[in-house]
Amino acid sequence: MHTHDRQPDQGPAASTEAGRAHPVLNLLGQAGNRAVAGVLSGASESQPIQRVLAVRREPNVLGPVAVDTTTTDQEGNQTRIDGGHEHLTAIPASAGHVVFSGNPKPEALPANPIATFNALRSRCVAIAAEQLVTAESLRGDMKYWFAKVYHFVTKHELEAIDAGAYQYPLMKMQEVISFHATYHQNLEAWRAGQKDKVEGNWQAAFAAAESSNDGSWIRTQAHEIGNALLPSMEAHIRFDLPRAIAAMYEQHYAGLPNVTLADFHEDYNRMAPVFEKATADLRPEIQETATLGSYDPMSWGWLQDTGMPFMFDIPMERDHSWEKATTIVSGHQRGVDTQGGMQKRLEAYSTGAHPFSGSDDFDVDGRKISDYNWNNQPR
Amino acid sequence: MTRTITAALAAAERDDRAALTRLVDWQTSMAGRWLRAVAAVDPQDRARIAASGLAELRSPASSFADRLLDRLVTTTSTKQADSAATEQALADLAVPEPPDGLTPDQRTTAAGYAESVRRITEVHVTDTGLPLAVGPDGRLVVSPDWL
Repeated sequence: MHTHDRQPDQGPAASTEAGRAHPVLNLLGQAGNRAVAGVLSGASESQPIQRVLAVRREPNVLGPVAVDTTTTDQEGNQTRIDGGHEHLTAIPASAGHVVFSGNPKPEALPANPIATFNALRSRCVAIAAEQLVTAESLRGDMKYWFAKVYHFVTKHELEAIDAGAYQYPLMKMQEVISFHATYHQNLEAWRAGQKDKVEGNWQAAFAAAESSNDGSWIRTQAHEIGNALLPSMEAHIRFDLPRAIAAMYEQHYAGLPNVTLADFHEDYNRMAPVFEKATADLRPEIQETATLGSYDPMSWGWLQDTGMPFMFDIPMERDHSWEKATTIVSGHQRGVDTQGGMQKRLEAYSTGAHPFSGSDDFDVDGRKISDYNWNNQPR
Repeated sequence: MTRTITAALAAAERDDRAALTRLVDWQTSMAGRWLRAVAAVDPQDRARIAASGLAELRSPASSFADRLLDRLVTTTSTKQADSAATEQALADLAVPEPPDGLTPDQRTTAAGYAESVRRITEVHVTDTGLPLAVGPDGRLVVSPDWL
C-alpha cells in the first residue's frame, strides 16, 4: 500500500473583506504554506508564512513587525491564519443548518464553515451510498457482514451530525472520509488479487472472513458470522480508527491556537448510540440468515447477549484506540516518524497503561500486526 | 509438585477459570514486562501511564488466565526446573530499576515487585515446557511471555 506524507490543509478558498478570493489564501488552499512563501518572497520553502507576510508590510518603527492575517471569509466570519490553517476568530452568529453541540472553539472551525460542512456532508452521503453498493456486491461472501454494518455506522453517524450531536461535526466527517478511503482501498486491492497492496490488518481480517465462507453462506450460523465480523472490527478499530483520527487532526487542526486533540475526545465518546443503531439495523438480517433452513444452536441472540461483549469489548477497545491516536500525535510532535519507532512507542504505551487489557491491542484474528503504517494514511 | 501447582492443574481440569485466577500472583507475574514498557514511554508521560497500568495490575481479571488455563489443561506432569531453566525463568520475571519520572509511591510499588521476584525460590516446568514459578506467598508466578 502506497502512502504519502502528511499534507497541508486544503480547505476552501478564503477571501478578502470584499468577498473576493485573496490570491495568497487561494494559493495557500491549493498548494500549502511553502508554495505561498515561495511565491511571495522567493524565500526558502521552509520559511514560515507569517514571516513572509510580515516582511511585505510597512515596517513598524516602534518595534518588531506585528503579523496580522485577519480577514473575512465569504460567509462573513472574521478569520485568521495560524499554524498554516485559516480559522474563525468567533463562533458564527448563525451557522444556518449546521448545528454545533455545546460550545466549540472558534479556532477549530475553518473559514466558510457552512460551505465546508456542505462539501464534507455531500461526500459522506456519497460514501454511505458507496458502502451500501459495496456491501451488496459482497453478498454471498462473509466480508459482506462488516461491509454492511459499516454502511449502517456511516448512515447513523450522518444522522447524528444532522441532529447536532457533536461539537465538531466537520472533524467527524473528515474522519469518516479518511477511514472509508482506507477500507475501500484495501478491499479493492484484495478483490483485485493485489494482496501485497493490502495492509496487514486487513490481510488478516479479509483472510479470516473468507475462511468462514464455505460457499454456503446462506446457511451460515450466527457464530460464524460473528467470527467473520470480529477480525474486521479489530482491523478497523485497533488500526484504521486511531490512525485516521491522528491524521485528520494533524492535517486540519494541529498548530491552531488553543486547540488540541483532546478537544475532540468528547465527540468521540458520544458515538455509542451510532454503534447501537447500526447493530440494531443489522440484527434482523443476521437473525434471519442464522436461523434460515435449520435449527441454530448458536443463535444471534446468544451472540448478541453474551458472545460479542465477551469477544470484543467495544467501549474498551475504542478507549484504547483514542489513546493510540494521542500517542501517534505526541510521537510526531516529539520526532518519532518511522514505522518501527511508532510501533515500538505504541506498544510501550499500551503495555504500560494496560498490561492486561492491552495484550491484544495489535492483534487481528489472533495474529499480531507489527508492520502497520501508523504515520501516514494510504494514498 | 507443590500444593499450588496441584491445585492449578485441578482447576484447569475443571475448566475453573476463577479458581485458577486466584492461584496466580498476577502483579508479580506482569511487573517486569510492565515496568520495561513504562521505561520506554516518554519521561513526561511515565507517571500517568504507570498509574493506569498499576490500577490494572491490581485487578485480578486477566485474559492471561484463559491462556494459562489452555496451557495447563494439556499438562499431565511437572518437575523441578533445572538450574538453567530456573535462571532463565527468573531473568524473564526480573523487574528492572524504576525509570525516572515515576512518583515516589510508584517507585516503592515497583521495588516491592522486584523484591517479590527476588524471593522466588522454586521454579517448576510442565511436561509441555511451561515454566511455573512459585512466589513467596505460595501463589504461582507466570510470565505473560510464557503463555
